[in-house]
Amino acid sequence: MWGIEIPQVGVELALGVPAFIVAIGTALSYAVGLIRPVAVKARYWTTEAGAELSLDVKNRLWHRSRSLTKVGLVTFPLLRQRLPGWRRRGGLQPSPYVPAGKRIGEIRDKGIKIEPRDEISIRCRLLTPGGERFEPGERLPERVRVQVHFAGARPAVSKPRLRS
Amino acid sequence: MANLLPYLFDLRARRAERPLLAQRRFRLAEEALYEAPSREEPTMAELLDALTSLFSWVAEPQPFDEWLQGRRGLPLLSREETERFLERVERGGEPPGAPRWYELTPLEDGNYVLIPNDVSEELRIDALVPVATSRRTVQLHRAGFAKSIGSRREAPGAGAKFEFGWIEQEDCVLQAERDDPDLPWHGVCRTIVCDRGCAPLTRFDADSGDYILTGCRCGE
Repeated sequence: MWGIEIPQVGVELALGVPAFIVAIGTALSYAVGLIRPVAVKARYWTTEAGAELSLDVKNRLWHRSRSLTKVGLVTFPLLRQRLPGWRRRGGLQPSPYVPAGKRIGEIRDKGIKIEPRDEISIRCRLLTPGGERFEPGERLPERVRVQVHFAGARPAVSKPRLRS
Repeated sequence: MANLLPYLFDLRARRAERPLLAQRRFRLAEEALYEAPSREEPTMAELLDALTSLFSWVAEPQPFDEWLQGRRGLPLLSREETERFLERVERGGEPPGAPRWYELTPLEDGNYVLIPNDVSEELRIDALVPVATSRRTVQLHRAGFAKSIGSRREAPGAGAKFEFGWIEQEDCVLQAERDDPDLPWHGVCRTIVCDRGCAPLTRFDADSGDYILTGCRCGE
């Protein structure tokens, strides 16, 4: 019988080699910070005095520093409302909670520079503009996120988790 | 210039190496003044107390808000405070005798100093005393003494109380030129007569990440 028989090993190579290259490339990009250049971890907890927020911000880039310029709390829309372009259409809403503290004042006045592969910790209080008290045990609403802005880069967002 | 206060101001300013009074003047009240209804008369003891504490610090410039709260000296107003003052001041009673006015003299550093003056021939040292007549209003009283050369006598009306007017005070004021070191926005809310707390009214721009202080409200 005439015909061309494609050897099984050839198919594996034809798909496997590019997949391997993509996988290695992705892993390397992540390792050097090209993917997810900034990592933000937010934790909060409540005390008798109110609520406190802890932010660990890591510059994952190997080659350049970042300037942290603003920290704010935003409310994300519901999942079903996040249609393409929802950010541009003003989908992000302000949160009633406001970070306050000495480091927040520093960030407002001159920003904080984060060196390549360096990590900083920011601890601040959470308050409302109206000065309402944050009750002990009170949880942040589910859709509240911490948004961290950097000079010349897209903001990073993190969901604040209750510290156990 | 009859009032020696500007000279005293310059003397102190030279010693402290501060800016001198500029030559330019701003006249606050040139048209006819009208008699202000007195709301609560300050006692003579209060005025005497103010006078005795005045003369040691008569030419010491004090920030306007601290001056309003009783710190003796010359009221020093920022540009914003000056604008607010001119919006809110009401003209009150003109004393009998020579025309009197108040000068907002601009300083080199952008602030203004409020100085009482008149056209009398005598050498005077006049100063301003704030007297709160209610929780929301403050009257500006002119107090001082005058001397004629070669004789020691009190000038007409000197040392007496003259109601010039009053400043309507807001419950809370937004001060844009100051920042709270702990808060993410520029500007602060300062309490004037608000017992329930002066709450900032803010706006958050989620796209830019900016907190903006838009106003202040009492009792929130």
